[in-house]
Amino acid sequence: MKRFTKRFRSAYLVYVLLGTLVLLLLSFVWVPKDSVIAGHDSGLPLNSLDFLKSRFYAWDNRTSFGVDNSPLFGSLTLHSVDYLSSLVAGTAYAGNWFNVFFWLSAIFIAASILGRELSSYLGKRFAFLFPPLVVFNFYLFQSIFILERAKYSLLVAQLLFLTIYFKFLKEKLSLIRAAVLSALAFFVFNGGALLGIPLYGSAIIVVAAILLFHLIGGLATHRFRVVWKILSLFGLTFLFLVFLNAYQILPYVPGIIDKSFILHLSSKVLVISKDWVNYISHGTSLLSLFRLQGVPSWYTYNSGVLPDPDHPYAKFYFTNVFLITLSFILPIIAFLGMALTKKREGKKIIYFFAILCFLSMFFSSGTHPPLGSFYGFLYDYLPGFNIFRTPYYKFASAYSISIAVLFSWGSILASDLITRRVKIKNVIVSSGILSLFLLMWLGYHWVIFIPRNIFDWKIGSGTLLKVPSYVFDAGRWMDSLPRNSRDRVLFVPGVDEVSFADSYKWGYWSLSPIYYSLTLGPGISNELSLTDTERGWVDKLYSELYGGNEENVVTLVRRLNINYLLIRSDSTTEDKASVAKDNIAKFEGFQRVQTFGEWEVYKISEESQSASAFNQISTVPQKESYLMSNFLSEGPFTSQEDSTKITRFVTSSLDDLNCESCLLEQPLNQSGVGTSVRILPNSPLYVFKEKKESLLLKDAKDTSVKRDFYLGFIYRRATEVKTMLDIGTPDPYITEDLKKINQYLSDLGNVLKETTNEDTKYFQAHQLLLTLTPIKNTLQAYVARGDFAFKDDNLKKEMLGVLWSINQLSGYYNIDSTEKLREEKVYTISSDSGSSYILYLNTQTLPSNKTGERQLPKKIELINSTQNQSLSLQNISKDEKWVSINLPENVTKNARVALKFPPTPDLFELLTKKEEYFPTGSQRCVEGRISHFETSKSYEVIVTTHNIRQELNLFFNETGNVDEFFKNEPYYISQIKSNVPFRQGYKPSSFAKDTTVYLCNKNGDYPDYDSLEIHEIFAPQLVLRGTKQQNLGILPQVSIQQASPIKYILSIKNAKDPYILSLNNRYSPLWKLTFANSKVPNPFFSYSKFISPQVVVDGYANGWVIDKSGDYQVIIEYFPQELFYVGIFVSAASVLLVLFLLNKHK
Amino acid sequence: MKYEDIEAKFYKWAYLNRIRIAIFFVSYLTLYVLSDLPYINLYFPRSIVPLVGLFIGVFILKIPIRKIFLITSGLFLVCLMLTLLGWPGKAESLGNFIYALFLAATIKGIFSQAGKEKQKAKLPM
Repeated sequence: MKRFTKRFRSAYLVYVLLGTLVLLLLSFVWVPKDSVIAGHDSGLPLNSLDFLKSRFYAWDNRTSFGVDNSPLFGSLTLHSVDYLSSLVAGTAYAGNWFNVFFWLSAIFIAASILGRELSSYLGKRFAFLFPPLVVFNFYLFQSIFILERAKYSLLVAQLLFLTIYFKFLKEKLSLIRAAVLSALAFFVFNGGALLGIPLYGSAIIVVAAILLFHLIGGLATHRFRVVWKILSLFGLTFLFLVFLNAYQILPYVPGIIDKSFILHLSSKVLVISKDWVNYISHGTSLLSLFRLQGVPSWYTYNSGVLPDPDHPYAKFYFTNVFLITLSFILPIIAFLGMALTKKREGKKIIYFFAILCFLSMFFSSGTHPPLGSFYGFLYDYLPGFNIFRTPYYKFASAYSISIAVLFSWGSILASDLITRRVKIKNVIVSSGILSLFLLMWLGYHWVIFIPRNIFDWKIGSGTLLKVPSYVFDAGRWMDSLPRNSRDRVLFVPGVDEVSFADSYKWGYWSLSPIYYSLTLGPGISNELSLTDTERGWVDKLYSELYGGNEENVVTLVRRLNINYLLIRSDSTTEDKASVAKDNIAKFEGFQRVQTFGEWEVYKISEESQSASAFNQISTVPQKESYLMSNFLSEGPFTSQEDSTKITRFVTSSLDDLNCESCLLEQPLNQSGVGTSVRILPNSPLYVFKEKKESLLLKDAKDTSVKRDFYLGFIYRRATEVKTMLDIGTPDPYITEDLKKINQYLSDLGNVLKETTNEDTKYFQAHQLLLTLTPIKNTLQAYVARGDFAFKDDNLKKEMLGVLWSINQLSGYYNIDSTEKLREEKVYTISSDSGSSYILYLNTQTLPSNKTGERQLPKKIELINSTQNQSLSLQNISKDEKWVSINLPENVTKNARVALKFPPTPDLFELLTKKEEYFPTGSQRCVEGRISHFETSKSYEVIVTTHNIRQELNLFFNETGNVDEFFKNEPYYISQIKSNVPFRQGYKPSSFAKDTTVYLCNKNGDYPDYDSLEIHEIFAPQLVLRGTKQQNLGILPQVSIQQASPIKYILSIKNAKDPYILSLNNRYSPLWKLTFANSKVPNPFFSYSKFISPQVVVDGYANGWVIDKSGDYQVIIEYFPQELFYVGIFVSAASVLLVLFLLNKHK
Repeated sequence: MKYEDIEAKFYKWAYLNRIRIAIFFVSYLTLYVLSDLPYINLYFPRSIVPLVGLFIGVFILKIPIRKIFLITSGLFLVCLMLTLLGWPGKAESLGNFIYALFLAATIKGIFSQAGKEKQKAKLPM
């Protein structure tokens, strides 16, 4: 027996070695020596050493304005492997053949270890069959194009953890030893970093399955000793893990305390979007998972059963009869073990993996029906569960392990069954049959072995590339820039404005800009991770560069600390590159200093530095930070909210005035009441709803609160009426509800008389119309229907009564007609912080006339409480975008400005009449376009017709749409049923280059209409600038030296008066300033002695108010780095401790 | 086996399990009513009722695991036919029943396994 075991061990070792050798050969085939896996959102660095270096710092300077790196220390292990793999492969990049081999073989070896352990229950053949199934499956290979190491590492950890669990259960390992080994497995194969916590979904499922399995067993036997034992293992493992991971947990603690982690998570992980969960779950039906499919990218959205035509290989599994048949045979074999296993130990193992399988299937299928409602419930109500917004990707690794176990065991049973039937008991025959099952599995996954398939994320777009050498040369040049002048390099052209992808003609396409993976030198572009304010600045710079305005370009590059421009002619937006190159050739202050193939580097002669001192600042409201880049001459900005801390420096303020009358044009877009109500008047629970309603109305003392309550209740009851009409509730319930609405409308009329205020007239009218217009539209549509005539008389009376009351109330505020609103725009001056004022009118927000020219207001009026005064437009400012209007000195707060425009022209341009084919069928249409179409504008379509027998539909088709769901598909807007003028608001998508408008008749004829007009809905931007005089002092001289990415040393000379010191890095309260030679406090005990930045400068940078005179040095450091050093110490001590425990508890 | 034998076997089974069948119907009805209650119906829609009904039916009617495997294998083949015939949606619906049956079989298996172990008083689960 011993001899046999020894032989098995040797044979198994040889098998594992052979297996890894096969993987090595395959890795060579998949990734040839000169090819690179790069791009998409892989994080596979083109320079793995630089990337690894950047991970040692809590602040990452490489991208644009810098970013907090403290949640990413955990990725040090992954990036160390990247670097080591690049050393072995002899490349600079991490996406090489050895890295692919490393991770696949790590999974194979871990699976072999688990297979070896399970072979004591399921037989020795199991150990040979199981490992390749864990490696070759669609779950693993759907992400190989980005070599998702974080996911792979956790798969390894799970396989090792399961081995430890089974050993622990068999008492081959003590509790301490098992906990230490489990913690070490998850410590080394840690899934990347703290931001990768959602990837632990699968590990959580494994833990849950273990608990569930023992709980069910405990319930059957009423003995829970093993449950407690398992809980002790989990608890102790968790404790060890926390200490081992101190190096990545500690630096993140300040972020949690100051709440900046919420911002971080909201941008990276917690984008709480149920729509996204639904999208990911659209193809993950339980049957798809049984069939080893369910990869979201395989399916056409909303079909769930049709292949995505863009997917490189999904179509084979929907059309090939052989593959379809195989997809149903594989699960039958997998679940054979449940019926045929006889041995007690074997049964236990199979039931455990079956539980793991079904639990992981439930979670992997996400919100897909029928069980998706449970997942939706957890997503909505279980705190923290909403991090799992991509269910398949987070939970399916547990499924891939369990189905591999079940299939291996099922194959062994099936092979035994066959050998018994044919009565040949021969090892070779038995192994041959088993190999056939393995081939069946591999044959089903045949596409995996075709390199072009697995590295393409859609047909024609992949991540397996040949990167031109000049790209690496440019990266090296950026690395070589001296540290003390490591200022930003602007990449021109920027990334795609819609998809935010950085793409090149040689095939690279990535959601993170290329410099992020290429170099340590900081690059800047309009990349995805910018905040809105940062994007405003960068977009402004690009537009000035393409517009050829050197003066503004110079101002902006200095402001944004940019010293080089890198023009990329190999970008897919090469036209912009050539425009920029032509303009730079004309600029005097720019000089070409380097050429790397298709890339050219220009140096800006006027150097900037990343720190500056100033003593004048302008303010804007925080939500209007986009104004900053529009008024460059105002100097540095801060938000109005922050300005209270630095009032002595504030010299001007900007305020975007609200166009109050424009609010009233919005209700036009409300088609009807949208939401549906669950508890209706015919429900026994409705009495509680009514009771609550009457109590709220009774307790409302304030009339304005009462008005809001009435509006809310009217709307809610209208949705009840709509729901009841839709589902066919008996008429008396609807009539009663309508009666109550009528009563509320009448009460509302009385309340309005008490609350009307001239200053808030437009706002109140807006609220009223916003609530009542959808109700009116809903009921009007119902009245126009043929079956209305056959309804109960009381219902008809009440419904018409509601419509009458709404019409009466809509006219209550005596607001002029829609046409008048379109021509007269009213603003209220709300600021009183300055001593003199100027208004600026944004000419780009003005309407166009028939020839496409901007239409200026024909009259401007200042309306004070006492008198009206005419104002006039001043000369156009140098920015040309803004026209100024001087205000008189006696202007009072709450005065109004009215801009009066000539009537807007009809912009509809009739093109043709023809039959169009839509997804819903063909229709005869009138086709036209919008003259002088602009993406940023809003339009209103007005259709009048006297013929209500026809069924008219309105469609829009936008060209330039890159949205994969609606590409080149016209979208249906609304059906026109009524003979009153039909009005429809239309806001083009941001990517629309032009729009075709279709008015179609569904009944087979061409549309019979009286008029079709398109007018612009516009709200001119009016900015109020207030200025005041301040006593300004003398500014000191500042020079800066960067000691490391997280530390700056600033020399201040001749400081006499207070000033603001700004560091041109993204704002974080964790940037700490200390004066040199002062005692640097211990971070734990004297944390508060550091000075945090007090203001956000220009909407993104850090600003400190300094009131110290003389010559001195200032040190600015990023605090989480200190904690990283402490964490490293704790982690190292923990490693020593667990190794000691491991040795002691042998 | 002749048709008459199957019929006789079924009647015999139905008679012996009459109480279980009644309990099953009452349970199913309860689930049906539950799926109609406000708020509960948001997360327990009617489409789940047959699945949960099938799940509890396996326990109430004491269906052996081997038979469940046979039924599910048959259902897999039906799903295959439906998919080949171009009705993937119908196959998907049937797949949900397979899941419910397998899940019930697994839990039933763990229970019976643990029960047997308790009897033998060997290893606790």
